[in-house]
Amino acid sequence: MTRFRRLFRLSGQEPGAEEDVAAEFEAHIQHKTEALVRSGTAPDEARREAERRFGTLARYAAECGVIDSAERKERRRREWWAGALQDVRLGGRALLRAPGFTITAVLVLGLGIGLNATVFSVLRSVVLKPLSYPEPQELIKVYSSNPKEGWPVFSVSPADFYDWSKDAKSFRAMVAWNSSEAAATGIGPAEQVPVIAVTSGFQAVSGVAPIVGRGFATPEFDPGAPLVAIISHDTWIGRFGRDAAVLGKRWVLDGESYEIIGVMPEGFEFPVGKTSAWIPFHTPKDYASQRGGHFLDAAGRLARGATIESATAELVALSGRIAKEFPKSSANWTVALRPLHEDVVEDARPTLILLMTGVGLLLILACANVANLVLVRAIGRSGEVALRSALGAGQGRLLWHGASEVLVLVGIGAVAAIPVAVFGASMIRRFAPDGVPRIETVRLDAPALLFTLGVTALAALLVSLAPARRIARIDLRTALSGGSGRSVGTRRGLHRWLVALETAVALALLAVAGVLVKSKMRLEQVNPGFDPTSTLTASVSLPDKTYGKSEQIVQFQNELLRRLRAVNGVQSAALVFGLPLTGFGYSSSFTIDSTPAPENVSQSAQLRLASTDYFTTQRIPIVAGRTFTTEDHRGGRPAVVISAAAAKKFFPDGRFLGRFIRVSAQPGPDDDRPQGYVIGVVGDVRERGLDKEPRAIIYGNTELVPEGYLTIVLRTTVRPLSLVTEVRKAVLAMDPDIPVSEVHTMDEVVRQASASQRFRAGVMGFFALLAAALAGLGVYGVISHIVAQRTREMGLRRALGATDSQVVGEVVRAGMRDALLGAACGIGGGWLIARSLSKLLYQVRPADPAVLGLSTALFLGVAFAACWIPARRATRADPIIVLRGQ
Amino acid sequence: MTAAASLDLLQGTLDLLVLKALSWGSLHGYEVATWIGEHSDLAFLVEEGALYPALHRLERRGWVESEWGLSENNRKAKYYRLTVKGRAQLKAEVSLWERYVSAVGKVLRTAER
Repeated sequence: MTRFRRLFRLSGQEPGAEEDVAAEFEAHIQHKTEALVRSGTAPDEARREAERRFGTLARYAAECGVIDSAERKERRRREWWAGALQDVRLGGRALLRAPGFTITAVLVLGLGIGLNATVFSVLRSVVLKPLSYPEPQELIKVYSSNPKEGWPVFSVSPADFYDWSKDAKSFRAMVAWNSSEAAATGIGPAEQVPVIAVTSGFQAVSGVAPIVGRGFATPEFDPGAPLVAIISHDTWIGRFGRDAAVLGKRWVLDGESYEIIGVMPEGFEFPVGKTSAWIPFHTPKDYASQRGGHFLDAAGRLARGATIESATAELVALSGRIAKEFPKSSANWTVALRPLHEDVVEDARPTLILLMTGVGLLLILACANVANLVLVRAIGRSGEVALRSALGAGQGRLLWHGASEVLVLVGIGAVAAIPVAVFGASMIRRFAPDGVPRIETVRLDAPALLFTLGVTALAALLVSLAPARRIARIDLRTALSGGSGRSVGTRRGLHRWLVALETAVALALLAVAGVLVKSKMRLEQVNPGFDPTSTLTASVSLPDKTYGKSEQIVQFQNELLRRLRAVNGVQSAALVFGLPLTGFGYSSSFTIDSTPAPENVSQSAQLRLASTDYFTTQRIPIVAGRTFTTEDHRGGRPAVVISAAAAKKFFPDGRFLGRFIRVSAQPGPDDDRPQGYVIGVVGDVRERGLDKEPRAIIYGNTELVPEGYLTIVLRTTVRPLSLVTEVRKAVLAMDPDIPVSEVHTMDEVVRQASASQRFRAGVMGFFALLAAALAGLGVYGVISHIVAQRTREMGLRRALGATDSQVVGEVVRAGMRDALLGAACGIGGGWLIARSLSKLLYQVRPADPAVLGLSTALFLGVAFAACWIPARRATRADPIIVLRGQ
Repeated sequence: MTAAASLDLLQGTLDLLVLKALSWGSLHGYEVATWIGEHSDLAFLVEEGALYPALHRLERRGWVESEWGLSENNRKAKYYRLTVKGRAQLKAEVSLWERYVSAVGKVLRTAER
């Protein structure tokens, strides 16, 4: 009876709980009344007495009502869970019975969810995650800006920075820093380590204090103060073995001995990127006269109530005042501010959004495929559903039953997604191009996985509802009398949409990947202006302390080159300051024949220093005149070489030989800068990036302008990397305190220059191929299903004389019509995506006809095969058997 | 001991008495009330209605279950009966009660001496 009542309730009719209690009380009172009457009380009196004995009806009814309603709620919850669990169990069992379906769906979902979770994890770690400083939203990057010269953001000069930080009220604190590398010696082997020289605002802006020791004290920023350093946690562990007594120890950086006064916490970075040590930036005494030397980065922490707008307004006003006061150095200079977080993630954002688009499209494909699989199964089961419906199962229940299977699939798919995502994250960490901020922090993160899972579950539910709703509407009589669903008319609309959708998505991805691959190929075909094959490079840095005199540097250079030339397998050896494609080098304005440039002409060029054999070693062609010889040594007639672009730009009349160029840069005494008579012109070199047009370059001679940071370039007759030990040995033999860093072949340097392009093309290419495969599979599934439904009809028509090719042709035509519709949308979508990427493309238009044609042809080929194979299979069956079969 | 005080003190034992009453078989509310009245000399139920919150509480805990039926004089009545869980509960409570009574009795006898 109880069980029956439960069933009764299930159908949704809750008996009035209050009436129930009232009836129960009434029965009691009646029984009592009868008993009283039997014992001789008068009927009227008996009823009154019974009621009196019972007590306050309303009070007890209320008490019972409270108890009952709590119970009902509990029971309903229990029953709901039991029902849901039962459906999940049923769904699971149904999936076990169809392993082919299940495995396909789980793999497809696992791939889709896993890749999404990967890219979303990367997006979160690299772009979305706040910077790891207290109140990171208050941190603002501050740039100098000279829109007139075309420099929207530029480094900051110390003089400007000190003026700003002195007067700006919008910032609680400001800091400027100079990133460099220093030769770390004394403890462990000599090594080139990243060192940041910071101004006194370092602690206040970053908001982080050392975990061991103390921060910098104000006097330590004065020139001539004892040298102190705060080291990073990694350095503490790696170099000092987590020595608790590290404070007071000395560490030699570029030949100067620094006392260690503090250790920063684990994971602390300022600025974002690896740093081994922070040292005070010593303000030069005459900094005020060096307003034109822009070489610092700067940032500030907003004061309470200040915004980036108010800070910008204030600094613009300040720099306006400075420009008026010092027109010679500061005219046209203003400031540009942006949130530090934006500044850090800006470069990585477009690539990650691109990847997110890619995996998002893949997820759509995965969902579409699963929807199709579910749809096919649902139609196959329409008889069963109709039966359940006839037996009184409500629509909601039927819908939920259909959905529960999908949810189980998504659940298993999520488990399959975990290894995909873990693997994906490690692949991204490994293959991401250099310079992606915070890439080392990328882990598969649970929120990312859960988010993706939620999105997928929602999408899968939506797509599974479509078939379920349709089935809930089917005509019971037809379905029940028709048997196995054969006669249930399938609306082909949904199927056709699936074919179109899958084609569109796959083609969009193929088109986007296509332009990226083409752009990458274009970039790799670019002639950098030198011959990168069989070339080894390595950098050495001579500490100022021991190589303070020019003669010492020149002597070191010559001795090093002599030793390197003696190494077996070295064809020629040279030194350069400012190796192409590495970002090293500086630019400066200059005068020709001591005549200042006209007021409105910016006469500046890139400055590089090259040793005698540099151009031969790099195989940079000589266009005119000659390059440096041993005659061009100190004391001889000073000489410079210019690049073809410089010759064209500054000597349009072609009369460049013998003209005198003097670089007029400040700061620094003049003889630190190249100056001399132009002796020759060499070919252009792409030094900023393969996709950037070559700029004008002035080459000075390393012997004339001694520079302590130099890059060795060797042209070898053997495999370049086999000489690395020899190079290290040569340097070590001369001075064990000079670290050899940045050891690369020139091929690697060039490859690195196209790393981002290659990464994008590679990943998106992978996604696109995956998409093509998934979409092919999807179209194949849809067409197979349509063909299976029409087997009988096809058999009949063949029996009536239609040829196989007619029957197959019809199926293929119908499928391809939908595919073509999808293809049109896909090309449009791909073009839209590619257009938003035009900044990332090199010499390829978003709508590249060759790419679009090729990807369309490729995918339509796949779609054709996916239509033809199942159609062809259907014609193999014997028509007689088919016709009898049903 | 006033009637009200005795009610307060003994209300907690009402659940136990109801369980005991139902241990003999399925009863409706009035029969439970009568059974308790007949088998005790004390007025556990000052008001008979007080029985019903107890019954509903026991049902909510899953110790009794109920269904509508017809009483011997052909009236519709809600019948309660012990569940398996309820029977176990009764056993546990009886033993607890006996230990309690013997402990209190021991103390009281000592005090009389």
